[in-house]
Amino acid sequence: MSRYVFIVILLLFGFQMKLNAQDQSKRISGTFLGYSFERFVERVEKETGYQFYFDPSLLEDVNVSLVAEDNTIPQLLNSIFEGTNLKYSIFEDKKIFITPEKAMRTRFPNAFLKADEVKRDTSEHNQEETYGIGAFAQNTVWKVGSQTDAEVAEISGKVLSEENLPVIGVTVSVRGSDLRTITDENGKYALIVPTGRHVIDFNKFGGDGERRNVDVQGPGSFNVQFEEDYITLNEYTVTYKDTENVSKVSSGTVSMQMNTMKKLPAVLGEVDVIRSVMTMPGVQSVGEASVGFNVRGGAADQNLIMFNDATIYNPSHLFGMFSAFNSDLVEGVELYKAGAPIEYGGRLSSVLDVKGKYGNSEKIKGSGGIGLLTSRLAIDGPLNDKTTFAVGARTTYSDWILNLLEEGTEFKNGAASFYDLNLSVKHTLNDKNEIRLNAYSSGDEFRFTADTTFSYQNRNFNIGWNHQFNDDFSGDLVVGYDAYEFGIESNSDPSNAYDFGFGMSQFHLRNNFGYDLNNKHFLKFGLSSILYDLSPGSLEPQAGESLVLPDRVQSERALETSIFIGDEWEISNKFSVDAGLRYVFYQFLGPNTVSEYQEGVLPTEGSEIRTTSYGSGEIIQPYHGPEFRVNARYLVNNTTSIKAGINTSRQHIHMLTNTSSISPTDTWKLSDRFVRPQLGQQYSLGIFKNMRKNLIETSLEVYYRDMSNLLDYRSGATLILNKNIEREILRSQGRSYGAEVMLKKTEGRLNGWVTYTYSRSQLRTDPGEIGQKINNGNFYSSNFDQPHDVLLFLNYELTKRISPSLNANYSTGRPITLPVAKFEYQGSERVFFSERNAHRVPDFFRIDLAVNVEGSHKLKKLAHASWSFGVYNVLGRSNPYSAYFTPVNGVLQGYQLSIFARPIPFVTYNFKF
Amino acid sequence: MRKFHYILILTLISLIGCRELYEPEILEIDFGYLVVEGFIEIGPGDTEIRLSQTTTIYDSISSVPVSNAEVFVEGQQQGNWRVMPLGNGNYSLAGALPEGQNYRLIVYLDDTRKYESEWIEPLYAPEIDQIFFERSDDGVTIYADGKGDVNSQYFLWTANETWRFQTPFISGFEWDSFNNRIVPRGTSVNFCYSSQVSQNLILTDAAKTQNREIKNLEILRIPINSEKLGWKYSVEVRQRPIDARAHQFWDIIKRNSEDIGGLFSPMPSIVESNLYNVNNPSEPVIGFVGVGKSERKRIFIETAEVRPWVVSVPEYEICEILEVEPSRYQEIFSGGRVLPLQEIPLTGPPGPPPGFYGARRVCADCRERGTLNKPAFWVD
Repeated sequence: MSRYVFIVILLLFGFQMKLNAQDQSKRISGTFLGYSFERFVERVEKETGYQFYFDPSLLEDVNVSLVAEDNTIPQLLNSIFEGTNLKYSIFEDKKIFITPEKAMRTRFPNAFLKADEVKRDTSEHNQEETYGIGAFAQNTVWKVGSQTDAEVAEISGKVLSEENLPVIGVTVSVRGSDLRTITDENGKYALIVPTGRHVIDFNKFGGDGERRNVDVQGPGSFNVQFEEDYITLNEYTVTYKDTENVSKVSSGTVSMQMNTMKKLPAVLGEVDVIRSVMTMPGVQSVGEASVGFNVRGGAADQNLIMFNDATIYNPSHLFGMFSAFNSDLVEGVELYKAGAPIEYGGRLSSVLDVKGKYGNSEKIKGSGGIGLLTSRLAIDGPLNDKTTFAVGARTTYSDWILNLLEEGTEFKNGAASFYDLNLSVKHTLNDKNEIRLNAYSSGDEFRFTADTTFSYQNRNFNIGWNHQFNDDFSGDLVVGYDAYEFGIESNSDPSNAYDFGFGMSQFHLRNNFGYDLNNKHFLKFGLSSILYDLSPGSLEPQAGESLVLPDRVQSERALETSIFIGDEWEISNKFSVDAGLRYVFYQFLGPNTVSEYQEGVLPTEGSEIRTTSYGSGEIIQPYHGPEFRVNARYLVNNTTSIKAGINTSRQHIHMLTNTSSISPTDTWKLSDRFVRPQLGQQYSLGIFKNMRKNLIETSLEVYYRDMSNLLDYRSGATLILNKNIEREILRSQGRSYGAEVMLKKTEGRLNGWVTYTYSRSQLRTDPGEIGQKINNGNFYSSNFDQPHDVLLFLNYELTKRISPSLNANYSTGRPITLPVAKFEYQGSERVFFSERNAHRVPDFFRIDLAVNVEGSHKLKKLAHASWSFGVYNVLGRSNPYSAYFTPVNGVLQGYQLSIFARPIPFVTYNFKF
Repeated sequence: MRKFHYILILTLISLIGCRELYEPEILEIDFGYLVVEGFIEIGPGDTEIRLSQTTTIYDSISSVPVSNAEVFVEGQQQGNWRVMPLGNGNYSLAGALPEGQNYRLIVYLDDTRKYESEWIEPLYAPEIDQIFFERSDDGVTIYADGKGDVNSQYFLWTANETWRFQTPFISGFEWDSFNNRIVPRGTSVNFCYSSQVSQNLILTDAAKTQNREIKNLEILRIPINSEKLGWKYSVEVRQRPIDARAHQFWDIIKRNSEDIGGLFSPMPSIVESNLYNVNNPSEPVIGFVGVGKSERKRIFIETAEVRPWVVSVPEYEICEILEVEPSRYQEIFSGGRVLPLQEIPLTGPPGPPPGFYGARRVCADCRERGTLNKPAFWVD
């Protein structure tokens, strides 16, 4: 796989950056995206007159991807070589030498210097160990090296803490010059300085440091010891993606790193992957109760949720309150709102790719947390020098959360518990082969009343193999198994006790290849195949005197195979296109028995003509069709781009739900003869602009989508244990459109973002449907049609250790159906509904606060601790989830139900060891 | 740890609130759709039909009774019976209708509005096996056992409760407003009967159980301290066989009013009807008329069977005994809001009575909350 080196203009850290005192003020501007090093050199040579000398084989796999804006050559080279062992030296005659491991000396003692003769310097430094500590050290003049005639000398050494441990990331700079470097992970630095007296500052990241007066007489060693404790940077904020939002070709993508999610105020202190994504424009939800989310007007089942190649069908805990990902084991997430990468498919709206950790390669580390609701623990690290792992678990203490819900109502006798477990292992066979293994399991059990227990489980397992055929060609193979099931166990009385079960599983295989054809084309192609097995529902009497008759809806099986090819084509420096085609073959397979109905009338029991039985593996109903993913980007200048895309998608697995938010008892259904695949297309256009040296990112995106073959249901449909669901289904069409504006400040003490989304999402019964149409066949608002949505997130670094953050969210209330009349029936007032979703709940407004406090960073402590505490819904506003009328003693009474109606304080203790 | 845990629970419970009273703005259009409720009885018992019109959500009256309609039951092969108005929107047809044919209901509201039901096939059901009750810490639960058969799968179960109750005080006297004096009361007014149609709608699908048996079907619950079981209680359970469409209708009615607005409540559905306006078929009509033979069973429960049973009635919490001096008899008793209970007994030397004990009307006259008439079925 080719390696791209993304850069920032000025890196804050690097490995033993070596600069010399020469004038390298020649500055370069331009866009170098996906350049080979040779091509980069060609351009720089032409523009600057410098000449490069290097062994091409050394630089074969170095790719350049950067946007330079008035940068010096050393700045660019430092960025490109960051993370490699390559060093460079710049000579006075504009010659640049690139060498591995050690830079060439650019000046030699006069005695050695002959015209046109360059030699590798292998001589040992003249070492005179120098340590210093305290005020004395600051005011002493330290002599380094022994007298030479040289004009420059390399001084190197170590920066150590009080405990004699290396300190990473200390800036070493020479006052009055721009000579500077940063200590590496061993605390080492090296710097070429002119001989003579200097004041050298050793500054910790963002903080104070030590100052030394040195008299450099020749090459030598100079070590420094720090007095106080310091902040260890275990997690770096990765800043080299700064220009990505402008330069990458696809639009409508959102990525979020775990350290950002940790700053967001969370419900009951649980860092939540999905709720974090909901702070991004274009992502909405029906209510606070559920992590089911709606992307650009799509239903919640139209999101593909992946966790390290596993498809998670129910990514939630506590009937939807929290997402089922352990924050300690998640690296970050990527959400594709407008067309997923070509290797993904099968869902109409979006792909949420949750990237789990595979463990660090340095040492075994642990982390965990104790919150109000859960405790979690994760351990990661190397097993040996080729294998790393990450493992973690999370569990809840007890069931008191239910007491907080719908106080005093039917949940009084509730109980709930859940857990999730993760294991990810990565093993490097050799530099061409790498194997990954992922296992994930989550489970929930809860009850609202004493006698009915609900439970659900996800089980996922997969193995991946990445193979590098050569530097330009790589392949990835994943095989895995995903399963989801839920059950209801009721034992209110022995004669009616039953167990209900739903289950689904999929075997999947994905083989994709990446081929770097040349600098202009990067091809992706491959195939993916999923074998679905679904048990739509079974009812079993519990042992004993139960009279319940066993019942079972016949299982469903289908094979979905896709082949895909895509090309990331750089047409010019400014214009790039990422075009892909995915062709999907779907077969609904036997064994199954299918009803046939008379043409032109409603499928009912009465219009059923016959049933046909199909044998195992027989194709009952095939569907096939293409999906297009075309995205284009035009760079207006270094900081501005315009992007457009057309994406189409097909979905063959559907959630059967007639509740507004996802419920843990929603079942899934495969496309069959009656349930056609859902089809969708989206057109998007966006303008992206970075300002103030990429410190501020702005974007404006507009989109239009339409969807067909969405599922709706006839009035009063029963979805569970329905053997003829086709009699209940009402095909619908959907359309949505909107605009998303975002302003984001990525760095600095005050950082955060503000977004505004205007979006509409509407549905109507397919005009081709016979019989009853919702709202007379006109377009009506979907459950999540919330036109205006404003979100503000701010984080302020008060000190290095204390950073408060604020989250504020306003949105239009969601549509609901309210009755238009009442009547009396069977001794009670009852309600009459007419138009669906013609009313709205009051507007939503919520402010949350959180403060993250890092503990002391003394290294000798056993564990690094941090606290996060805050208040969810500071204003205590009741944000209704629903409004409704229900009879109380025969008389209608209006209510509104709010989920988190009061300020909810939270506190979480996190630790690392 | 455990203690800490409880503190957490307590603080958090008090912090999160949820359900609040709320009156959303709704367009106040009075549609006045026709509502038809009833069952054409083939077996013994009367055919009872109730006609009303819908009102707006915030209207103080639940429904507008339609009392001046002409209602007929028509047999598909033979017969046409008029269902007689009883007033207040109720209509009744006494006597059993012949079996073996389909029926329909016809309603004339006026010359221009004629409503008809579809032809409905009568349904028959086996008898209810038994009605029984269970006493628990939470109160008393009434259950039914029954069964379906090949002809009957879906049932609608409803219940009618009747109970005898007593006022906290006995009023032996009353105010004679003609002569402006207190006179002994002719009939006692401290024991009454009250009744209530259970608002629970219970639907069963007998095809889901072995031999179509229905066992331990919960009909209703009487909460602890309820007045219903203070003396004697009776409940009549009625089981009506219904067809699949009627089952769906009742299911929607039930879900729309009982399972709504919660986290996982289904979205409201539109109720259908098996009646339509002949002149304007698109006009919404509410109601599903059934035809068949319903089954009824009644049981009685005495307080002694559920003891200990302490009655607590919120309406009687205000009850206290007043002492009224003779000079204030007219002022206090003549309005009728306070009833004379009995004379205050003499404690000192003989003389004129020192006054009367009195109590608020609701505390001594049970007719405020019930009727003195003993129902015909009542067995003491």
